[in-house]
Amino acid sequence: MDNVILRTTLSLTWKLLAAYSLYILLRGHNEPGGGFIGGLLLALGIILRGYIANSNTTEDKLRDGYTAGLGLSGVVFLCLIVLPVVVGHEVLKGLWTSVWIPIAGKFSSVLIFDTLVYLIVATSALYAHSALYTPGHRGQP
Amino acid sequence: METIFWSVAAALASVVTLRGRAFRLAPYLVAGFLLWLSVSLIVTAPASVTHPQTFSWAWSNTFGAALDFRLDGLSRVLVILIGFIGSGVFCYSASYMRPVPGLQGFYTTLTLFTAAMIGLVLADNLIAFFLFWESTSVCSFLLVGTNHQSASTRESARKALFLTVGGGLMLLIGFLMISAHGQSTGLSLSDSLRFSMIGRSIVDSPSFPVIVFCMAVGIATKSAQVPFHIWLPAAMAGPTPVSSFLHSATMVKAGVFLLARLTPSLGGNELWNTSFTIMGSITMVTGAILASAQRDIKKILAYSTIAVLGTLVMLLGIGTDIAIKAAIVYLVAHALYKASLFQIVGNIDYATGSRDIKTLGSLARMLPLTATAAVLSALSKAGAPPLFGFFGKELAYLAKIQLGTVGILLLFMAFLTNVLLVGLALSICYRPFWSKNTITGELNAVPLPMSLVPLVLSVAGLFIGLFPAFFDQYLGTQMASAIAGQDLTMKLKLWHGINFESLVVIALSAATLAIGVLAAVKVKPIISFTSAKLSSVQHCGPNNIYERVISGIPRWASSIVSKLQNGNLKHYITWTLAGTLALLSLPLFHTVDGIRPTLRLDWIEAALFVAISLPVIAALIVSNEFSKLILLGASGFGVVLAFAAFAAPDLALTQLLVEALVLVFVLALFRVVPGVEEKRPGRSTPTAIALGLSLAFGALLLANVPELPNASKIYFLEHSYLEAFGKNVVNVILVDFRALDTFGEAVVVAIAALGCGSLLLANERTS
Repeated sequence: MDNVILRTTLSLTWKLLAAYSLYILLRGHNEPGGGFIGGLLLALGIILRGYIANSNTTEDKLRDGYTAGLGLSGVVFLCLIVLPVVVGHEVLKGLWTSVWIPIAGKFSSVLIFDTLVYLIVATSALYAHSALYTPGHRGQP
Repeated sequence: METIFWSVAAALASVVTLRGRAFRLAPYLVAGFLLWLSVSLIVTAPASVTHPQTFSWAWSNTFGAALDFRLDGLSRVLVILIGFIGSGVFCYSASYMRPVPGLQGFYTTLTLFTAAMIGLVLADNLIAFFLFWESTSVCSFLLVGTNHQSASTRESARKALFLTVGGGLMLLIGFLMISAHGQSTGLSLSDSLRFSMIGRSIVDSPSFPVIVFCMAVGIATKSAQVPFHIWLPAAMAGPTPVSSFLHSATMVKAGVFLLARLTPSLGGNELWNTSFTIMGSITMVTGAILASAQRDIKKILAYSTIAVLGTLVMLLGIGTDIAIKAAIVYLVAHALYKASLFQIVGNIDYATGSRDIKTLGSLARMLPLTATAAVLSALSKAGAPPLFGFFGKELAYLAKIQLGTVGILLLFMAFLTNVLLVGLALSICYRPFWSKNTITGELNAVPLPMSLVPLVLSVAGLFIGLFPAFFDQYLGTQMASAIAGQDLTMKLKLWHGINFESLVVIALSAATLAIGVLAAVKVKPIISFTSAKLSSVQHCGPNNIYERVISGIPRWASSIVSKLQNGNLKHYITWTLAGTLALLSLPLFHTVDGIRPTLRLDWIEAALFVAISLPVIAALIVSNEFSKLILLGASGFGVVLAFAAFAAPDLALTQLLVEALVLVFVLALFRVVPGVEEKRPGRSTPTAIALGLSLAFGALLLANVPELPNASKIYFLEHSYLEAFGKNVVNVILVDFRALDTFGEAVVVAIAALGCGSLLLANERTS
């Protein structure tokens, strides 16, 4: 990437995108946004960062830990599914606390659910992209 | 009810938590808990059974998948039976199973099976029943495959799994249809899924024949009815405790149990009665004939189990009061004597290493207890008075006599079956123990518990036979009433007094026993004769068909795959589009009549139309790949605008980001794919036209839909803030009301990424 203007703009933009993705995630329950959109935004930001850094270290690290992360989020999902039953509600029922979180409002299991979606969407997109971008090994049609 | 939960939980806990040397206690602990369970159920007053105890845990009302249990006369007897025989089997396995590394897994699976089986007979919810049903199939698969080093064992385990689980799926279809009917008569989702709520009106519904068919397939696969019986003899590859517990006493009875469970609601009509009578009677005769062609005692027992299962299905199919009583006696008696007989064969095998009825002999001196048990069990199987099996045969003959003309045919079939079974039973208890054959080679000493357990089981059969009033009062009457759906008093008698029917029955019984003794004397030539006859027709039997289907699947699959996935991308697209078109065309033909296209575009819609379609048309014209890509992106942004214009900001945002990411991904592809050809020869014009047409029709169809269903929209708008505390309805639907769907989508996204990685990173990993 040899375009100075693009490089300078992106080095700021990707941080903005990442921060904004968090904002989108948090406000999702009441305003347009949510985990899916936020996750796509975060993936886009990190991919752009890879272009200006000319290295994919973030993505490479992520790729090594991807399956472990998936397993972990599976466990958290399981907790979210089962926990309401243990407390005496129906499966997957949202549990709400009175703890106040900026932007999002009251902290709840629904927010954890949305955050998991956020993380899975972002990491999956990055994983696929990094698989596509791994240098070498390809090119033989 | 609590007793059942706690003892099953304690059994599971002891088998899972004990380690090392302490683990040797686990089977005895489990046996103790199971025995406690069945004894405590026997001593609870039968009066409590006329009002069934229920337990309900509605953990998911939305899906109707409540955990409902119902302890009535039918399930009570079966739980007692499972507990009693189960405790015997666990004691037996403690000596029988050699201490190998996988032993804890074996006991855990066996205990899980017991839990699933108890859950199955208690379940009142159809979905819960289905889950327990399939769990028993999976446990059976694992237990048959205990000795999984041998290829033939794996084959047998797989056969058992395929057939029983496949039948279970048919059952699920039937259950869903029952539920749909229930809902159409005004039941709630969770009520429509209850056994106890199935209404008689279902018999008149047009889907009833299909329901009966689904139930019949499920019952036939689980309870080894012809032509699905082939898995049961193969399942004998499992160790003795498994055969004695799962494949004679409990799991194979699950189908019969379901039949009994459904009799009050679905039974009592011609279709139901005829189909199960025919299925059962054919199975009965086939099982008996096949049993008389075996030399391996375990195989003889397996095939005679099939014959008895056929008898049970037939009796419940006949469905008269006497037939139901006969089925109950048969079921309990068979569970006791067959479990014991399998253990006896296990002992013989343990001592001599052989199960061949033609060569075994003179073992009575060495295995006195086993020989005693064998005599008692075999006599019960043969239906000799005063053992429990006698009552079953008497009642079964009586039920058929009362049927009239059809009864005569059934009577003949039953007579043939019984003669063969009596002959085999007598030779099983005589030949290995008293015949003149001598066993060469060293004999293993059989541990005492292994001889005691079958003895206890067979003595239980003798006890009930001597004191039938005990059975009548505490078990039989309640069970008969639960199956018949009305009060039915069980009264077993050795001597029915002098009248025409009872004289005929006694004559038949005596004739069966007499000819059976003759058959037992001539058992060697009978076995040689039938096996020779059968081997000539074997090639068209169901087992052969099964083998051919199973071995044909890989060939069939590879021929299809080579047609569909030949490496040519255009070919893939053609197939995908053809599939889409095929799926679309059916509903189109149905609705094409009522379409009145109305073309009223306001200026926003017209502008959007241009914004979306112009770039696409331009993309078709330009030849440069990058330009095409950019133009497609532009069309995508047109779609974004459309979403925004129709007040769907979430969709617009998502679409926007997806467009951006697609662009990034395709650019990345361009970087790595070495040079794209400028000119591609030959476009698939027919496909393009077909796709265009189908899209146009689809648009016409949608144009005619006045508005999306309002009820759901209003529901979500009203409830999203009140119940889920969210103002963004789309997001609330995603993460709260339809959280399960979103979870599924997250899984899909992850799997897609993993698939991408496994395709693209495969080289990296191998290098």
